[in-house]
Amino acid sequence: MKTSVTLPQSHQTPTAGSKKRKRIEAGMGYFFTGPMLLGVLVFTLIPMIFSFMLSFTKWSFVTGFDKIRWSGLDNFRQLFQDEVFLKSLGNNFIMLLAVPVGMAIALILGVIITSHVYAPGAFKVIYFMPQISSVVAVAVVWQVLFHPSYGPVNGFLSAIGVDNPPKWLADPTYALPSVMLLMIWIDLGVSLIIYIAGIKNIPADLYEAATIDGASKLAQFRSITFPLLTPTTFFLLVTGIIGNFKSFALVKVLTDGGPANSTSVVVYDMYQTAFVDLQTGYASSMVMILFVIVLAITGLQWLGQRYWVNY
Amino acid sequence: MKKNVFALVWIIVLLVALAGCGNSNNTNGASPTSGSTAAPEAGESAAPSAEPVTIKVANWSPAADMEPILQAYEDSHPGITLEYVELADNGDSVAGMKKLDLLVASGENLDVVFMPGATDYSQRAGLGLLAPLNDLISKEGITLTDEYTVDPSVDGKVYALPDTLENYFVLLNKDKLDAAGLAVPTEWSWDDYLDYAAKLTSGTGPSKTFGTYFHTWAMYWELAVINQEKDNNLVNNGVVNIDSAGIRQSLELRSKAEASGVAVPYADTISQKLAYRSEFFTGHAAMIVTGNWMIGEAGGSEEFPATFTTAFAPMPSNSAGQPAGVSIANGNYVGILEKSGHQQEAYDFIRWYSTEGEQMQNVYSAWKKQDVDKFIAGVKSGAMSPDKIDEASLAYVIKNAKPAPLSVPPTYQGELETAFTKETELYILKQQDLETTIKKAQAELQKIVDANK
Repeated sequence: MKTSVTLPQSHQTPTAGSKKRKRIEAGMGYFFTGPMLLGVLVFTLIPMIFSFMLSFTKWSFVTGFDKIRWSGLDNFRQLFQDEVFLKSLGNNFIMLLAVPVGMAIALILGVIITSHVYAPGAFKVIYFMPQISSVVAVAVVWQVLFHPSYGPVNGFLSAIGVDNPPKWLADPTYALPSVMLLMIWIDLGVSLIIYIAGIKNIPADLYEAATIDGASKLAQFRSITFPLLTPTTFFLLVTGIIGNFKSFALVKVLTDGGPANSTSVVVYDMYQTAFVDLQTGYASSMVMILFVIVLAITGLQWLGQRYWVNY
Repeated sequence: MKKNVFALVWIIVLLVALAGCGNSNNTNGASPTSGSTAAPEAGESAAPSAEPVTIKVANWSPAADMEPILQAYEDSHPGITLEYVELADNGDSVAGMKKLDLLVASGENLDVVFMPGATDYSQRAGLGLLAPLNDLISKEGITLTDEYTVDPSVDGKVYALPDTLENYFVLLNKDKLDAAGLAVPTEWSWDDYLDYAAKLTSGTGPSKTFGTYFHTWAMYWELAVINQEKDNNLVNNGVVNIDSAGIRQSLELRSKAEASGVAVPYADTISQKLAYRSEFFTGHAAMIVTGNWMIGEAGGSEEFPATFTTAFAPMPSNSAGQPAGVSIANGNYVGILEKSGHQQEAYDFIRWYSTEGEQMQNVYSAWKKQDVDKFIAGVKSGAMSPDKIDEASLAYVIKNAKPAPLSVPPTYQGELETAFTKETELYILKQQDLETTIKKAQAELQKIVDANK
């Protein structure tokens, strides 16, 4: 554009013309980003600020704004004595285990699928299937598979001689692992596809050189594949943990947080508090805690990445 | 320079946003007060001059069911227009309540709202959504307890009129009863109930018929409490009722039924999210404790056609010798929103609806002057397969029902029930024994009561 020619001049002695042009250009910029900016503002930023303010109030969204009562830090004080919330938060942290486990499985499968099987495309589709199916449909299928008395899973277990097979989703100790199992299975497809893309990006000459040097497959994996995939791993870890913290749909359709809150997570508890018990203010304070935790974990990961991620 | 402009724009945007928040706060804060001061005047000046008034009525029932009744009211009351707001498209009251809350939150000008059950009613009364009706009632000069079987007072104030009446009894699969050679019970206790359940249990594997099925609702954990005349809730007058003989008996009843395999296992119930209608109407369970919204469905519905005769038995008593058929009374409630500008007109309408209007719809109502025989005849004429309803036992159950005066539950009833069922679940799944359950539930409910003082 012409501006690039006039810019050095105007930098020293700004003329009226170039100033005007600059303003127009900036204006155009804002004009084009405007709709997006407005969308972010109205649907993300304002609700966030509003929710932040609500977390210090006692309010129910069905009553008017005139019923908002400022309550300071009461909500937060109450939260840390709220057994259901603490249990949900604890469950969230246990559930985080599903992320690295799922990624490890995806990585191994990714390596196998790229180089050791026929028709890798078919396998990609198979593993991606649960991701594109509706969570509700998937949950119902697993509900039946996990049927405590007549389900195929327990049928198999009793056939091989297990006396008292666990009741899975109806058992307070096994419900959470069952949900995690499903989570891993559903999210496997995404991690797998991204890992396969990452593996394909590794230059083949590295492997050739390693083979000539006589490195075993395991050594190649340890010294070439894994280090060069660390950016991918980092990306999957961050998004996986954030997504894991926000898990709701699966819990809602599979167990409703039960039995006895053993699968309740923060977002589920928040939903229950906000839309069933109608305590919007209290639920907002839960969101704030969640926000702080997710922010802290992500921040830690960013700080930690330079010690293990190779770009 | 460029950075400065950008920052400036951002600051302006944020300021506008904040100002916007502030503004909306102000206008919203101001409108209800101005509305409530201006509205009654408008209502009073409107009434004498008989200006047309539109009342918005919100219910979760399908419009096709409600419209004829509303039409009848409009015909007999010129100048009143009723606008029906359908809250759910499948008659689901739980979804209906969510929609109602959203509508109210978004400032929709509803006047008359229906609520399914005392818990929903007292929750919304406690939030200050509903207008107190005491003045309007005393202006009309009626005594509520003479008119209705249910007393809807919350802390001495009436926020809604009782609409339908709901009390509890037992539905039995009469074909299975006959096959087992058992008579339809008229006086019985929970021990007899377990006995019946044992005799009705047959078969094995997925096609096993269980004697009974208990749903996940809190009432199924307090069966020996809700059949009492007094103190029949989890918390009565601020006193937590868990550490009591009634709750102990209720939990033991559940545990006995579970252990002897005569009830559908609780693990199946929660992991498969079983529904009581399908369990009963497919013959998977031979008896269920349920309420009178199921009377009409005993004659079959689209989803569950009646394939066997359904008999009715009163609510069992706690021990032989005590009268059977006592049960807490619940039901739908109809109230007027605090923000409504037509309190008097809306009140006239809900009075009419909760009495005469209901007769048109042929529901079991809380109105004392309802004709029971006419109601049963109406149910049968409306049923898909009327011969599948055992009329003799139904008449006996309705005529001998002893609805205990309802004490409207505290506004935090929902929280109490959640906390209570959490502990009872651990008990039935054998994670803790009876005394631990009672002790923990008592403590937790006490905590909720204290937090809401």
